[in-house]
Amino acid sequence: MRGYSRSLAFYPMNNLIPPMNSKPDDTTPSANKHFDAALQSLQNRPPGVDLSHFEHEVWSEIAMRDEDATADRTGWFSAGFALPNTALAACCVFAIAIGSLFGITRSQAYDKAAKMADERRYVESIHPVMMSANHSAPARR
Amino acid sequence: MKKLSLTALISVLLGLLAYSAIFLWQKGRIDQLHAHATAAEWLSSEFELDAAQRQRIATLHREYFPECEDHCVHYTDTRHTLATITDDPDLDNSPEHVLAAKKLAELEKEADKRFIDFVYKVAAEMNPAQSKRYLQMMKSWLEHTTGRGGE
Repeated sequence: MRGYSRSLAFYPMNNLIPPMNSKPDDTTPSANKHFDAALQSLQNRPPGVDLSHFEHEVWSEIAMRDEDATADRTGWFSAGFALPNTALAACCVFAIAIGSLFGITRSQAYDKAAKMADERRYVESIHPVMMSANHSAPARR
Repeated sequence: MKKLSLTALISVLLGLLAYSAIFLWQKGRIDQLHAHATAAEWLSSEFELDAAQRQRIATLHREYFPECEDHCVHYTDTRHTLATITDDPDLDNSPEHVLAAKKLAELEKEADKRFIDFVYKVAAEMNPAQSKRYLQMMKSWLEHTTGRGGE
């Protein structure tokens, strides 16, 4: 569909509607004279410049609407990026900030747990009862 | 609506990416810092001990460790004996049961005493601020493990 309307916008309308004032089966000399004149006029007309301003505007408008409709059906993904640039950027920055904040908080908790494990290891090395927690079976009978 | 859902999707993905990147980077750094640290290295870095303090405290640890380990083995043996007696219905409230329970309680008390003595010896090698923090930390561990605080 895309492109047909645009092609029509630049297609000479006189090619679609021949400029004939008499009936097609009129063979009188007067009719022939008009036909010859019209044919001569068509042959002498340069291609592609026949449209009136109004016709050109109409076909251009149709072509633009045709393209917009096609873009709406197929281009939703690119439209999602194109429209709210500022809002999208703000959401991305906010999401990165929140993600970073959670990452830092989780890292601090992990660091605290690691320090606590080291502390426990030290206490287990100097307290006989805590040290025995690592001995599941008696070492000496 | 599609635009909104797409924006939300991108935001969530970016948030997850930022979270994962920061956490994994920090986790690697923390793991590298703590993975190979011995108890003495932890004490040294936690309380920012100087070389002379490290040396004296290391000597105290070397002297104390065999005594502590021996007590630990003795305590483990007694606990195992008590568990065996407790599992046997015929020995319930028998003299052996009472004796083993009493011995275990004495060993626990002795362990706490040795721990506290050693902790005070280590604290004596630190400066006042380090010493205070170290004693508070060890006291909280003692309360946590035995349910009794060192006085």
